[in-house]
Amino acid sequence: MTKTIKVTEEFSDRLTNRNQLQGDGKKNAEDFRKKYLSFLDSPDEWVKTAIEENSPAIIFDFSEVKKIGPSFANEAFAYFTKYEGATPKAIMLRISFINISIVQKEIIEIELESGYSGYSK
Amino acid sequence: MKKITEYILIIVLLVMIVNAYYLPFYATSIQSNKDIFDIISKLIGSATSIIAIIIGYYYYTNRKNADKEEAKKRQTKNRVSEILIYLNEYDKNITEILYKCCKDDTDLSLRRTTSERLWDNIECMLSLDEILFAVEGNELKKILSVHSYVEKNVLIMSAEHASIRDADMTDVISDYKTRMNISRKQCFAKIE
Repeated sequence: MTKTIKVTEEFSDRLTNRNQLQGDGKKNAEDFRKKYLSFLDSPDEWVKTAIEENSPAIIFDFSEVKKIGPSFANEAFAYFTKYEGATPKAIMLRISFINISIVQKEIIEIELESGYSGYSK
Repeated sequence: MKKITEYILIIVLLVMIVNAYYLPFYATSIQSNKDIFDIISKLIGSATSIIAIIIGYYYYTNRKNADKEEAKKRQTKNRVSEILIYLNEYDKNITEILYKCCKDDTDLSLRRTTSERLWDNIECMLSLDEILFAVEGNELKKILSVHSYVEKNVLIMSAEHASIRDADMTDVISDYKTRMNISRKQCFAKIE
């Protein structure tokens, strides 16, 4: 059965920091990705069969999530665009979002379409 | 009002049905040309009133729907105008960062925080039903893209005041302006 993560309860209701260097560095996207999405951090997870057979791999429940920043969305989700086969559509298939607002979903899609930008300071 | 119109319509239809039922009896008791004209004028009178009521009823309901649509459009335009006010204020803050109008790190930090707060307001307003009703997915993306660029740009949102060089800003200014114009155009398109 696909695991559902209640983001507000299990992580935070404000998803803004990319990593420890941004903002107060707490509850950042790097930690989020390592905590919930590390199993997708492999080229094997983005081959066609894996996408077709194991989707969605995880569901994020965005109830009560007040904000998601572009940096957070980029680091947490667009990070996977570095893998061949991890197209925006494939990522949205493998990672499912429920109770997410239209604006929040658009923010994530914008980041998936623009690709992983990384960060340096 | 709608109910009353429906009741009147039903009553008139009933009268019409009763008239039609008694038509053969009128016909058998026709005594002269005057009677025929009486029957015809009664039938025409009833038919005309029914048609008038039906037209009136449809005019009334359509007008009501049109008024509702108009009110919704007006509300959307007002909301988008408010978004534009926030967007202009946001643009002013970012432009000041881009053109190094900040005195020091504290001033720079204040402008960054203000820009973030202004954008929060824009996002809140974009989430309202009357905006989502009028704005399609792609249009929404175009409005949101400007902040995607700003928030991820190290020079605009993270670099220290002393480390920002004019030469580094040239491309950033150009990219930002392009995105801001797209975002603004999308908003203007909704209030025309």
